[in-house]
Amino acid sequence: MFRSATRSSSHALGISRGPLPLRLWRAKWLYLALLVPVTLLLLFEWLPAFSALYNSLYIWNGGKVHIYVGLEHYERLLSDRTFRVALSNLVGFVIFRVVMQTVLPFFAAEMIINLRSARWSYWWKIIFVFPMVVPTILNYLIWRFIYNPQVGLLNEGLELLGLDAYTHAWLGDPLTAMWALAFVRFPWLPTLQFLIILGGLQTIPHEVHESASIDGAGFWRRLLYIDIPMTRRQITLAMILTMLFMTQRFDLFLVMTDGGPGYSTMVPALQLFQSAFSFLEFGYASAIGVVLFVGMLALTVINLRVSSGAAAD
Amino acid sequence: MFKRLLFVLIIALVFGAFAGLAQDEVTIYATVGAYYPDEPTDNNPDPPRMMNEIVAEYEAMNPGVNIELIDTPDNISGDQWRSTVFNGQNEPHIIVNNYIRVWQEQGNDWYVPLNDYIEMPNPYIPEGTPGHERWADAIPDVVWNTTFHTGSGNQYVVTVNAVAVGFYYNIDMLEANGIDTEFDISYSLWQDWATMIDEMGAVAAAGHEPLAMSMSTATPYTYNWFDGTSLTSFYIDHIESWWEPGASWHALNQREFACAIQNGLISAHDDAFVDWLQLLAEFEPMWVDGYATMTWDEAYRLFITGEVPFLLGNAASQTLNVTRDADFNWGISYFPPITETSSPHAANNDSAYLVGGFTAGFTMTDRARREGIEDQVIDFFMYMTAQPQWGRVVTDSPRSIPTQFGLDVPDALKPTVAFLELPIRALKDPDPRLSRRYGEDHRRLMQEYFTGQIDLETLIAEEDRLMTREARVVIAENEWTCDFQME
Repeated sequence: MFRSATRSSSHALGISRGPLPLRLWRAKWLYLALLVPVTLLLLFEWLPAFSALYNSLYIWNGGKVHIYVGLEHYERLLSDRTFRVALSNLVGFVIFRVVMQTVLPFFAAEMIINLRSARWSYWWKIIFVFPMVVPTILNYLIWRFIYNPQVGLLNEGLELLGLDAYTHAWLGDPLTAMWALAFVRFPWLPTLQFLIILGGLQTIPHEVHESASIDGAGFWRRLLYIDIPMTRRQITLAMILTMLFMTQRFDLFLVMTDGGPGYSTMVPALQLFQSAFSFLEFGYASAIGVVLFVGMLALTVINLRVSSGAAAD
Repeated sequence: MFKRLLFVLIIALVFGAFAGLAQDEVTIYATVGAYYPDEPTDNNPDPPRMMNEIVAEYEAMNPGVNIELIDTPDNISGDQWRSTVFNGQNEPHIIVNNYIRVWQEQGNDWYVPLNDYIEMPNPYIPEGTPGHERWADAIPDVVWNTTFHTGSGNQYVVTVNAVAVGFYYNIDMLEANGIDTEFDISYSLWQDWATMIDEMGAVAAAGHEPLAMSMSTATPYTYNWFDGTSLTSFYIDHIESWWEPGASWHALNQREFACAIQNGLISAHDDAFVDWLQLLAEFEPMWVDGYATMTWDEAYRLFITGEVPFLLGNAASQTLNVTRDADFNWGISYFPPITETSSPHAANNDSAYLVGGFTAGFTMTDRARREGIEDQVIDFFMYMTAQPQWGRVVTDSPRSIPTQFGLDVPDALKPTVAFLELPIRALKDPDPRLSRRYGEDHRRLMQEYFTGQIDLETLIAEEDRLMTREARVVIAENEWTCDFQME
């Protein structure tokens, strides 16, 4: 669809005929227009990313001290207890959130698709999209209050229900702190993932659902044999995005627990932030960033391969 | 043609004149710590304002000099803020900083030594008042001796304030639970540490969490105060042998502490160190639930709403807030001494050790030197801190105890003056005593121990590894030698 639209636009502009230099010349204004965003992208996105690779080979305090140390930071990472714990915390957190932030938006989108009233469908969409306008930091502060051991809503609610024995310092106990963070923004209906999956479900032709219904397929069979296979690409995209967002996320951990108690909620992105801005170890922070980048890239490629392989099957 | 040339020439001359005028303008940027003239908010309905008047007066006296007061952000640590502005060469010309931090950071050439300036007369101090002839005379020797950096032989900080910390206590709540609120010794509710633990235990037995405090690694200072002052009590007999040669009584600087570790004079395996760890572990049950991730503001609210009877806080600036917010009778006490009742290694402590004191002062940064305006900056520095100005600042909003001769202590701060008579603690907070990374990792290890994630044996092993590593790094980075402790 996109390709044909581009081709027809090129035809309309009269730039798709003739030898390459002539075509480039004719399209010079388009390329010039592209030059600005591409330059900005290179300058502000790619250059810092690649400079991290360079800086990871140096001891750099963000100022004058800049000493080449080769792969020393990467060796240090291998024996760094904080990094090991942070990585293991991250894996559990990401798996939990990827599952939740894919499954629940999927069911929410299914519910909207199955609503007969277009008006209700519209309002439900608004309800699910509305949280996008609430500043993230405000959300965290609200959750901090919910978890407050002395005056928080969660403990107050438990006490009202006569469950005093279950009240707890949710963020202050290493056994519950990571779970408490994983439950922040419950019921995990992130707007972007929801819209992506909803978009996928809306592209399934109505006739397919009608045929399935005539053939006697109920909700679950339709879900398993039509909706999930036909929205596989959207589901994969939602999973990848969640994985990337959650891996890069450090604001949640910084605001809610600062990685504590001990290291129980430490994650690599927070360790990166602290290494750079608290300890002025920008080289070491860069090495953490590079390892995270490589890890995320590898997981994304694997995810794409697995999902495209499954689609081909 | 000629007219056009003349017109261009006139325009060029006018612009040139303006440019020349503009070059004569000097802008001095300064931080003033707790005295920043903020806008009123719900949390801070009566912010200090006097610095605005001081600045306006100075600008009126010095046409062409602009003073910009800079507020330091609340959402990042002071270390992060300083590293950002200094590395970006965008630091204010005058900044308020803790002298120990300045010692740690002076290797970066961030601060200008003030040795020569403090020997000069301060024309803004009235004749007959100490400091008029020689600026240094405005401030007692004990302050200069405390903040003098023996490592470089330089004085980087002019300290015109003193602060202390203390336990705020809710008299009504304690008396309702039958707990005595009379001072056992001149500065404390408790005779010694063991008595304090017993009394807080009684509060806990009465169904209240005793002490609101924060050990969040984001706002760790409340815990840090315990950490440094209690560790001092366990090593007080050894401290003098760790000093650099020729030094008078002072808090250990980074080099002295790092070398003491490297030379094996202090180790996590010491009996004294292990006793100290256990003393802190015995105290931990008195802290409110969730202290490990609780912020200072949350701890403050627990005290002020009557949820807990004790709060550890800054006994200077917080006094204003407690006076404003508390609807109960309250008082301020200090830490009791840690004595042999708690450990044989703490046998020689006649008193507790002071947290705070002459901690934060004004520094002149390298930016003044880079821009060649040291004289202008020092002139404003002298004006702002001279007794006639500083007295007004402190009286307007009593947030710290003035240290200069000729200034009275505001009434609100008089209860804390007794604390300032205590000997200063020789071992400071974990971060300044060795390194920022040590402080952070040490607190996390302690949290792991307190919350049962690691046992004492693991804590000792990890703490030893951490101290040894950080001492080695700090010594190597600064190219220090440690022979002086072995002489």
